[in-house]
Amino acid sequence: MVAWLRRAIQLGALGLLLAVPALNYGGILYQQYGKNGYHKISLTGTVFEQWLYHLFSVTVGRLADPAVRSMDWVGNFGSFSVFGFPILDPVVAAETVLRTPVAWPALLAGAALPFVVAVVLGRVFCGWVCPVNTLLEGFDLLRRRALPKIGVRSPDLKVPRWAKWTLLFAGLGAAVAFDIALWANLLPHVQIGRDVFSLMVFGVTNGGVLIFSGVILAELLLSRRAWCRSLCPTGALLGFFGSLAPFRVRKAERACIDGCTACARACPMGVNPAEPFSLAECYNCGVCTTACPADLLTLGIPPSPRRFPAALLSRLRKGVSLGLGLALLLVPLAASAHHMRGKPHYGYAENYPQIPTRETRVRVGRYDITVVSYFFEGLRRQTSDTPDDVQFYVSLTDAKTGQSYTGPLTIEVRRGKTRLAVFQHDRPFEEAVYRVRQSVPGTGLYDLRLIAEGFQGSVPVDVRGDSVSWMPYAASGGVVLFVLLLFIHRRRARASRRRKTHAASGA
Amino acid sequence: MGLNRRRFLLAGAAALTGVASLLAAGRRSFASAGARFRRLLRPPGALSEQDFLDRCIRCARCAAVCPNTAIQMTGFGQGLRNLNTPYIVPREQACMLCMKCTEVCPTGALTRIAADDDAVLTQVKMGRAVVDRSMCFSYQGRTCGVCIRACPFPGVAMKTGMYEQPIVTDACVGCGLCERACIHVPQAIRIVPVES
Repeated sequence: MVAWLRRAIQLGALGLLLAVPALNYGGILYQQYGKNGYHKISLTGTVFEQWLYHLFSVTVGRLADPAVRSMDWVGNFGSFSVFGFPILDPVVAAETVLRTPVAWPALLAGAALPFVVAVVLGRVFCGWVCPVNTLLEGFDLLRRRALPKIGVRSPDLKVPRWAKWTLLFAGLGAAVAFDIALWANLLPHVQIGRDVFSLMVFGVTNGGVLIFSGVILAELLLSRRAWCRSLCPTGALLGFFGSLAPFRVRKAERACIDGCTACARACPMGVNPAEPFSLAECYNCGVCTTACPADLLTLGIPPSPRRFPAALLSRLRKGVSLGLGLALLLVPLAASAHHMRGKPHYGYAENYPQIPTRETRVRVGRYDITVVSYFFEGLRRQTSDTPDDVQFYVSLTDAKTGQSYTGPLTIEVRRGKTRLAVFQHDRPFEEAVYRVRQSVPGTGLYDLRLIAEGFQGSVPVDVRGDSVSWMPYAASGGVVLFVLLLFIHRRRARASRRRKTHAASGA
Repeated sequence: MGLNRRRFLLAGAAALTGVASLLAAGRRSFASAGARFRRLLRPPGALSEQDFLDRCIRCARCAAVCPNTAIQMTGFGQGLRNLNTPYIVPREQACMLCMKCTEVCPTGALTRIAADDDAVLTQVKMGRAVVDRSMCFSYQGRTCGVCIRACPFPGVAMKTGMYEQPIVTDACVGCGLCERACIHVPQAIRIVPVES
């Protein structure tokens, strides 16, 4: 019963991560397209946006004030607001209080709920809600079931548990000393919410993939739940308060079966519930209570008299978190990846005024140089006449006098060391703007080298298409793959060495 | 058995892919760093830049509720101190001064401002529009007047002289609607974020 309830809450938390940005974005679309905007959004919106708009209009759109209702739930696990009630991650709150004491009433109010929950129910946030733990439960299966089948056994290193306190204080110290928001940016359970939001809406992630690969690698290479046990600063704080909690795992007075270590082996946090244990390290997941063959352990409430025996169901249950965890990372990406919400698309049919917005502005010498790049149909569009044609608008303004340069200008378009084209202008194309149109071989970094009277300098211009950058994904995937292969190799090598020595001793 | 060739090549290729793409990603985000590290235009109600960076907890709520989808979140390109903070690029989408972002900010990094004209005019100061007269059509003898029509406070924040030549006053709040609307490429009027 407890296991099912916990699973339901975990899935609910994952669902919330998707549902809250979807609610917010649905509300925005509803406001932008209006109540009967079905026709308009079917013309200009993406499939994902259309779907979201329809979903919003048949649910929240039926309520009295949809625009306000769509703001009832806002935020992520770092900072939630539910009907105006603030919930803040205690570490983020502590960090911000330290950096700027002025805001403390709001921050303390926000951290109140996590504090109360921890004091009453223990570290349940970690075990029952935290999306990172849910994700890691999936990778735990990989670690314990799948990897041994291909001959890889992950190590079980004892990373000292006090490391999380060191990390917490070192991080807080660094945040204050260098005046940066450290934990607010780094905590993976905060980042996952921001990433889902920005993938859904902007089609980009801000380094979240790298943070998650780190946490997953820690799971695979250090120990089970290495992040939660020994590294997570939020876990440290919640555990500290949680050690007071009345809701906890209790062992019956009867003696254990001799030599049985089922509970200790089942515990993801590496605690042995058969012995007296530190409550700060237990996150009340209740896995040990179902693992105990003698039913000696209970989690706060009486054990249920009936169990769910179906092995099929239990297998299904185990697959769900892995699948959902992966889907959570991939689905929003696939759904609307390359779309910047509401931003102009560089296509005639999609956005008529076609105002080029990709702008580079740099100070070189005495000039403020502006380069606006404008793709006629976007790079690598199959349907366009001139797919790789890019137009650059260049203007030079004297930073001191505010006067724009209107004399002769030579513009070289370069990529790395190759010079693609040289243009010479005696005067601006119009109103102090020089215009250059050039076919370029692809997206990437270009240099515009400018030679004017008594001046030369170059401006780097990032020519981007509308497509997703898969680089971070490839990078972190590559690292994980590399480590896995290393593992396989080491394991095989050891096995073959053993076989050799065995053969030698046999002979 | 040892390290056979196939496995060595596989492992090497995976490692190379990882390292190369990391390098490429890094190069891309830092190569034009100078261009992107300029001052950011913050949402309305933002405290002075230093206080704002101290108080902002990077929760992205302001971007989540912005009905004009003007607020974006920074990535690595704008420097680590600015990571995950909100900013506006008026040329892509300008602020329409609805003040919803100030309602949801949990720490007061964006101070709460009522959504009426007087409050907005007196309390919002995101930046100020600056006209480049050598580019502006109206100053070059061709009347245009698009910016004055886009301005939410015409006659107060922006006045027009002869031939619809825009004259920005001190009342300008820096919403960027004029920059968004400007028909000149590149824009002849742009928002300079407020000094702090």
